[in-house]
Amino acid sequence: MSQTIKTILSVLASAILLSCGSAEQSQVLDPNVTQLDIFHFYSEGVAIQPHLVEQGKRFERENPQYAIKWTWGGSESMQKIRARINAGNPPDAALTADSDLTILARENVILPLDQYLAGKNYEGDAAWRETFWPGVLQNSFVEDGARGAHYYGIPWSSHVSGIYYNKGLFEKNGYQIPATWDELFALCEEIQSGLEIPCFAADNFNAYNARPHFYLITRLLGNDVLYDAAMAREGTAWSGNPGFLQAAGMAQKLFSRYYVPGWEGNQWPVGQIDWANGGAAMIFMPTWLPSELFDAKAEDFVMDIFPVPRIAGASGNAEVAEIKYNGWFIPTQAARAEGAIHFLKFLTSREMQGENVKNGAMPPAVRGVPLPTGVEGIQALLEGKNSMRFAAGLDADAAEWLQKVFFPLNDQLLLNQLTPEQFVARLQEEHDAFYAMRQTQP
Amino acid sequence: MSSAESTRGGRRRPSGIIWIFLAPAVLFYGVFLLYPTFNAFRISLYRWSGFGFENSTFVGLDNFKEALRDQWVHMAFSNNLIIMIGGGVLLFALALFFAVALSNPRTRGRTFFKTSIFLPHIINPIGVALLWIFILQPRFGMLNIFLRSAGLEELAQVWLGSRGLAMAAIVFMVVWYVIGFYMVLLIAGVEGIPPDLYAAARIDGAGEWQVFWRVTLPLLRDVLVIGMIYWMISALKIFGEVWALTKGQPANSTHTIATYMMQQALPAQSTVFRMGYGTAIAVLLFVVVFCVSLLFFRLSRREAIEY
Repeated sequence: MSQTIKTILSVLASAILLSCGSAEQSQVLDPNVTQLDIFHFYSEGVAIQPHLVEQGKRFERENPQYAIKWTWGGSESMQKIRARINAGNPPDAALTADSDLTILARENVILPLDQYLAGKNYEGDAAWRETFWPGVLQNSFVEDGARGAHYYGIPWSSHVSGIYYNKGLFEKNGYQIPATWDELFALCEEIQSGLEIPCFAADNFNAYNARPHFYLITRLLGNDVLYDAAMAREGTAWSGNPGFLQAAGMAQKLFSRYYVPGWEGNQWPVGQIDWANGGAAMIFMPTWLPSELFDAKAEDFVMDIFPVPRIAGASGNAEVAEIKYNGWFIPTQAARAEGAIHFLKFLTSREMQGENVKNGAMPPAVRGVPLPTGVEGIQALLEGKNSMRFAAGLDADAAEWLQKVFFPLNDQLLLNQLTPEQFVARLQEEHDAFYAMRQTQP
Repeated sequence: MSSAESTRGGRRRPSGIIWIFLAPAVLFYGVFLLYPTFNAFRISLYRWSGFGFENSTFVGLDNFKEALRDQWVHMAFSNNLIIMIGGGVLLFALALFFAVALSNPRTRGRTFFKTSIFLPHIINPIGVALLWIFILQPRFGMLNIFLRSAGLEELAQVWLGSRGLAMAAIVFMVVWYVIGFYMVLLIAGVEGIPPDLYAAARIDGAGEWQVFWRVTLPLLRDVLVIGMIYWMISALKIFGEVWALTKGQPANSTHTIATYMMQQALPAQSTVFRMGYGTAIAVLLFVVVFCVSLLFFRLSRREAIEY
């Protein structure tokens, strides 16, 4: 081998060796310190994110045997987590929505957490499991998880959907919180004729805009009717029930008469920012809205929330509300599960959960922490009284059906491109076609 | 003759050192392009959530059959065609106009215009789309405010609220975003045409319009073909701009193949985990891009022009 080739090979080998040593590996860690790899679905820059970093530092001070390495996943978090799980390099703990967590449990990529929940909380004054709001914790129980029926998630924030309103505007004009849909429609008439602002703001976000329709179905027909109809592979689940036609008619009336003109052209989050700056009186949203608008609302803007009204004379469930949580899971291949659990206990301690309320208006997952201003009324739901999963649980069990069948047709209904009768007929047709296609697969 | 330049049968034989230089590129190409491409073909034959391939089920061509019958795939592909054809006509007409105008030494402020037109292309496509979200917002967006203040209230629209307007907005935004690149490509072509040919045409009595049609355009053919192929491939694969601007909405009507594939395989706003099906859509996209490129190359094949 000539001298030239030897030299080139040496340079290449050196370059490869140098590139293999990452910056992280070059950091000198105390051999007695265990670095916990924590993945959060927030982006850097979200209002509460710097406070989480501070919480991590405080944990390190209180537990010098651990160091926290945060990864901020952003909006495509699940893809990043999936890639890391497949590569055999999962984080020690990661945060996601409860619907994702259900699917991860079914895929056998996350650990059951019952044994940890049975242990003490961070404060050491109660069983960890007992510290959570029961209505929230129940969503982490996955009946058909690959490792059996267990709790697979640790709730971190609690969310209930309802109708947010501009409290100052309501007080100034003497508007009353509507108890029924008739009252809601009457209030919207009054607001739009008196104040000349739209009653509701919205973004063109199909999952968000299906929420009033889901509520109408539940108020008219009961808790499980929507879920059962969506999961029914055969029969006339949709066209055979006149309640769906009534719900579709009311949903269309709400959007076509009382939503901000042009809502369909709002790409998230411009609609909700518009609302928080006085562009409309109300918005249908879950309780993560205050944290999303933490830095984006007008200075004097005060928001409050009320439950979705009942329907006078309807035989469905008049009170039920959607509830969900964002929570932590431990991947099955996590290298430092015990350490991660200790950190999660810290993050779900009353003090840290209180910090989240103060710094990000984030409704806590644990009891004993004051709820953020404006959402104090959700306590009964957090207790688990008359609550249901978001989208009746369909976002975990029939996400593709929602994306391909319900959401597109619901958008067309809300945009007056379909009459309620056409909507129900098309829903039955598309529903049948969807399941017929699935039957071709083993 | 050195050992590195040994010959066999009168032809130069590559020496071993060439392979050392080629190795990193070949390795990179193999690991990051060839292997994933072949693996995608394999995955498309399975029903797989994307977690642990051992949990997958072989389904043969079922994913492809489903994709070919899926109304949303049809819708997405037609949107790709709208961007490719509608956007292509607008893009090349404008890029050619700017290229010819800004190659003319008599045009004043050429550098300023070239820079201004090219500027959007250096922005990340997601950033561009976010900018346009606020320009196109119906109530307080810049476009509608401008139209209202100019007394053109009736022209103010909900730009992203229907398929027709949203697709028009996507086409316009994408053309605005990429035109600088195609303009520079065509300027290089125009400036490569020998000035003698223009002089000869003018001596023969040709006007500016005739010079353009009879000299500039024919001699730009090779550059135009390359540009068009590149545009067609880009338009078929388009993802970032559409994903950030509309996420396929309203009513799934502005999805392109790539954004629809994303929605199926890589959940972002839903919990649809269909990696096998999404990959089958990706394979179909690959086949379409490959065939279109091949067809266009064949149709445009001709003798090279030498000046």
